[in-house]
Amino acid sequence: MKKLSICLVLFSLVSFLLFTPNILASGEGKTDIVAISSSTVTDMEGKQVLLGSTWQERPVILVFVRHFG
Amino acid sequence: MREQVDEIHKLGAELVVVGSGRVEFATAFQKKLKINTPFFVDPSLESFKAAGLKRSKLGTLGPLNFLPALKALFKGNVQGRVQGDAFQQGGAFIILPGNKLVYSYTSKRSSDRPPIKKILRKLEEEKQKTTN
Repeated sequence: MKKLSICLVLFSLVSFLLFTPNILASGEGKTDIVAISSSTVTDMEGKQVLLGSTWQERPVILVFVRHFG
Repeated sequence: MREQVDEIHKLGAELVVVGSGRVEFATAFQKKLKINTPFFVDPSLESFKAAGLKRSKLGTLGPLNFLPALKALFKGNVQGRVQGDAFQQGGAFIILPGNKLVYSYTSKRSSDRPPIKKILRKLEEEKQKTTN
C-alpha cells in the first residue's frame, strides 16, 4: 500500500511537471501563416516592416526569441 | 543558431530574428552576438500570436527549466537581464516565398529550444526540391 502511494505521488508529480506548462499557457498553438505575413514588426532603424516581406525572394528561417539578453 | 548563419546563407536562405523587446535591446543583442542577419522587434506580440506561440508563466519559471539552466550555466552561457516579455515562449519556422510554411516548431517552455540540425536538414531538402 505504501509503495502504491509513493508511485501515485511520483506519477502525479511527473504529470504536473510535464503537462501543466501547456495547460496554463495562453495562445492557440496554431500557426496562421497569412497573419504572420501581414504582421508589422520594427527593424533596427525603427521602421515598420511587414514581416512577410522578408521571405518574398528567398527562404527564411524565422526565429522568435523569448527575449534579448 | 548564430553558429549556423553562414550555412543558412550558403543554402540561399536567411535567418530572420523577431523578439519581443525594444529596438535598443535588439541592437545591443545583435552586436553582442556579432550576427549578420535581420533583427526585428514586436513588443505588441502580434506576430508571436499569429505564429501560435504560447505565453506561459510556468513555461518560463517551471521546474523543468532548472536542469537545462544549470547546464547552460556550467557551459558559461550566463543569461543577462531579461529584456522583453519574459513569459512569451519562442519558436522557429521555415517559410518559402509565396507564404509556404514547410516547418514549424513552437517551444513549450523556456528550455525547449528549436532543433537546429533538424531545421537545417529540412532547409537542405527544400533546396534540393527546388533545384531538381
